[in-house]
Amino acid sequence: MSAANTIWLMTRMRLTRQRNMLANQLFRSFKKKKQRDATPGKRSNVWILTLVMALLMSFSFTVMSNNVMLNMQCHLDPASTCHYVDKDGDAQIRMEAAAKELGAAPFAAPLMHGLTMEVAILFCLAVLMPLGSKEMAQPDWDLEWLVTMPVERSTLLWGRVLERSVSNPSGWLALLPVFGVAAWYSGHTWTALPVALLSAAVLLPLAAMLHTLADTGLRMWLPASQLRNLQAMTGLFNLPLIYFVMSLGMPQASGFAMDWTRAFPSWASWTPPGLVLQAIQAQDLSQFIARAALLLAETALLLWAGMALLRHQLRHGVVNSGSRESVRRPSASAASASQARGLHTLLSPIKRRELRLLSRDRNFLFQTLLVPIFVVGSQIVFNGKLNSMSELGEHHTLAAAIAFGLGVYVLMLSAFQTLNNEGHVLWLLYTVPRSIESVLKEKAQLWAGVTMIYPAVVLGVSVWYSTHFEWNMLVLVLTVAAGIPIYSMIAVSLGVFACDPQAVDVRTRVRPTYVYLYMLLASFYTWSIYSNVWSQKLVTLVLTASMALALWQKARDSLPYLLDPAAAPPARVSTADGLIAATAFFILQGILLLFADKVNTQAFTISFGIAGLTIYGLMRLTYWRSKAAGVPVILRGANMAVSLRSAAIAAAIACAVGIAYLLAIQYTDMWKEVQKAATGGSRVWMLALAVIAAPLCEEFIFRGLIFGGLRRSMSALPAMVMSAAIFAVVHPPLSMLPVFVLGLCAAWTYERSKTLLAPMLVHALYNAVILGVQFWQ
Amino acid sequence: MIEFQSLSKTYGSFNAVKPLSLTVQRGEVFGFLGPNGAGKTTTIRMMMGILVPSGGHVLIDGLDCHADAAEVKRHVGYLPDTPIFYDYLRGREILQFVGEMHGFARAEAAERSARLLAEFGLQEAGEDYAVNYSLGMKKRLGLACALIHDPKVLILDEPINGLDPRASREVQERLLAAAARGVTIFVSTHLLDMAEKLCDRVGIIHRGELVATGTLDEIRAEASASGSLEDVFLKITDEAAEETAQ
Repeated sequence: MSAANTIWLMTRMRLTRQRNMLANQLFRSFKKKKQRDATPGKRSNVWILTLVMALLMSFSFTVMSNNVMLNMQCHLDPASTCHYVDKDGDAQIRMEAAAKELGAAPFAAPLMHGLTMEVAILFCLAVLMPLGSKEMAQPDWDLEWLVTMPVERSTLLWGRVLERSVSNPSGWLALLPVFGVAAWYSGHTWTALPVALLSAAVLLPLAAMLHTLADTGLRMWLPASQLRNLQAMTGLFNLPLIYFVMSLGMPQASGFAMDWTRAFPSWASWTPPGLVLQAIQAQDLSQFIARAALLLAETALLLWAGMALLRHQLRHGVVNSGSRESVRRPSASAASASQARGLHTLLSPIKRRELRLLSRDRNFLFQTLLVPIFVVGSQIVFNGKLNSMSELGEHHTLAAAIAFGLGVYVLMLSAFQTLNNEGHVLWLLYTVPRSIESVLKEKAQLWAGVTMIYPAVVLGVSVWYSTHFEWNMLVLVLTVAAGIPIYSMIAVSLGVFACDPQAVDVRTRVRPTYVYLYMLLASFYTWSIYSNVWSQKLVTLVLTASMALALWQKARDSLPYLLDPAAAPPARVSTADGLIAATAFFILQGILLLFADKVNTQAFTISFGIAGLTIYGLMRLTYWRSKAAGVPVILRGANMAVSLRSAAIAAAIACAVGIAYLLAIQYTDMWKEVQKAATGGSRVWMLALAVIAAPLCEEFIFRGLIFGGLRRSMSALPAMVMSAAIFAVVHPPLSMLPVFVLGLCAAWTYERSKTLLAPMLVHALYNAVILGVQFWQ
Repeated sequence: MIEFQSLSKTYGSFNAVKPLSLTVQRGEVFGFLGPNGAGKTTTIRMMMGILVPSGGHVLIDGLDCHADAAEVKRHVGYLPDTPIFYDYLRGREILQFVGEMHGFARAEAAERSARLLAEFGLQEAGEDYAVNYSLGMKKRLGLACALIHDPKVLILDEPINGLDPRASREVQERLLAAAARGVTIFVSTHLLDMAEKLCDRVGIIHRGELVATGTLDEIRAEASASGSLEDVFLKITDEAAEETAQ
């Protein structure tokens, strides 16, 4: 077998593997084998999204490269005419002028410097990105397998380097746009793409050589755990580099990026990245041939030297003989054990184990705790906003939103991944007498606690810089402090649905759809931070809290089925059903009202009734089809004596509170609103709505489904309070308090009688009495 | 002690385990034999609540393994066929963690893990990260995890598969010692000499179906084959294959 043939085979294998990986991610739901694969794919169909993302990425990278080019021309070429002063006297930049200049003349020397630096950084990224991928830390390193084949060692190593140059998607994505743009402005116009492909093809083998040297060498020198930690750092250092390149393209960027460009040494133009640019910019054939020949000679020399070094690295064999990690430090661990005893008594074994993993696994630590700081920090530094910290003291709402956003981001990287981090070790938790739910609950608590540090710091900065105290600040702090535990719960439970802990490929373990859902829910809460209306804040808080409970319940139901690829939990009535039914009920009502000629009490009653009946029918149908357990009953098997007695007691209490509330607000401004509402329409229709339609529809949803669902995973009192709170927040702010009491009373009767008759009676009686009082007055 | 009540598992139209009824007495060492892919691991995973039965139940000490999953684990120790452990945790720390998860106080868990590590010859390795263990060490650590709470029942999936002769002998002796203390052992294997040495009774599962149960002598008689268990096993699984083919 010839050497070229070997290299071709290796490259083909690598590309096949990448294609399979991609196909596995994109089209998994299409593949349906007959026999054992009757298991329906748990993954949803997201390949269109991925395709769109890929197109968007190449487009935005090209746009970015173009911006960098124009911006550098503008800032670096002293002869550029793109600066002008507009009629308000502000300095502005005209990009079209820069574009015209670039096309008209060869690039100025400072611009060539800048471009060389940009290409050099992108080249670093082309080395670091693959190095930071998971492959380096994986134990089954394929060179170990390849050397068992009847092929010369040198062929194998050349094959490895070439195969890695072809299959380096991040390298191609980083280098193609910048070379393409440079070629475009150098007058190649429509042949810019082939020129760019050729240019990248010269540089990528060098990147692959560096990559191979780094990971082969490191594998020989470092134990696996340190290798993983190093890899985590590599992954982290990519971020500032990316941000730096991006900041080059921002017209209003702080000056220091451009200063660095000016300070970039000029000999760099004679290194391969600079020579590629010179060759692209060549003004005539002889100049091009000279540059290209020099470039090829340099590349060949560097590759040859790299290969020599690589062979030197592998002189003792291709695997590290002492590959087993020896980290025996019993004395140190004993000392730390006694040191941390105070913490030990406070924390459960689960929390201690999680913190211990966090302290040892740099990958985990960086990904969860440092990445958010790096992202936010890089944004601030490269956008030149470092001196705007004090502004946080003036804009409290903004500070609260940033604090919450940062917290939610940390939770997405930590709490969302709880199940994922267990991975293949999940079996161990199945051997101990603990439910998986209790383990997840502890992790949710832990991450909520750890995450709280971030918003605390941001809010602390805000308080430090603020000049005077406002009550609003306290409200904001409390809103953020309440939001973090709620979203910790949401993150953990969504993580249960989003994760496939058994997936072999780590990258396919998280389904992106749920990440988007999580971010959507988070933005809902952020909206309430910006809202100034107290009732909106309360409504959001109660709704997100109930959503967290509902999601948690759904996740809990599915936990025993986690490792089973085929079985699904049996259908049961859950809080989530209640929330969905309530939402559908209100939406349907709104749609029906659109069809009414004019919106009055009659139309309102009719749409309320139709929506209620439809939702009731649909829910019953769904439950009947899925044979769900725990469907609320209205009359069947009702104990009349208990129902009537508890209904009478509850109605008396609810009515008393309602009347007291009416009397109390009689002398306030709110009374007029109540009066207006009471006299606004036909009394007959209003009575029909309040006494017949509302109790029938609302009791089924709020007591039957929501309270019944909550009751399944918590004791009676918290379930009563939570369901009453949800019931209250869907009413007008004015009536929230008495309706909350009504909700409590109705839930109590449902708890006593187990049938919906009693709460319906309470609801009807309460509405009748309150309306009666209002009419009479 | 262990009671299978027509336990079954299907994946779509594929019957991984056909309705299986079987009782394992207290203190018995029961060998669950079968060729690769017969449904042994699926059955054991259902016993541990890792998989959900498609039909029927399996009870351990009167508790349903699916409905009372957490309670069952108080009495059960489990060793999977290939134990995988946490990255970045030392053997000792994993054992300690499992002990504490079983509800022992810290000191008690530490004392028990130290004792078990010594018993299994892992004192030194206990300070290494467990992901770097060899297969034999992983199995021994897994067995230590399974024994830390003195369970009444041991469920072992291929406990000596892949071990060297000395290690496999040690594990078998440890299992015999546990059996002598009255621990019920349910052990799956395809290694017949181990079954012959260890088990009071065996069941042979083939293509998801229990084709024979009883003491070795009974099975020999039933299969009307004299000689080693290997001959009997080959004869039975062959016959069963023919029946399914027809």
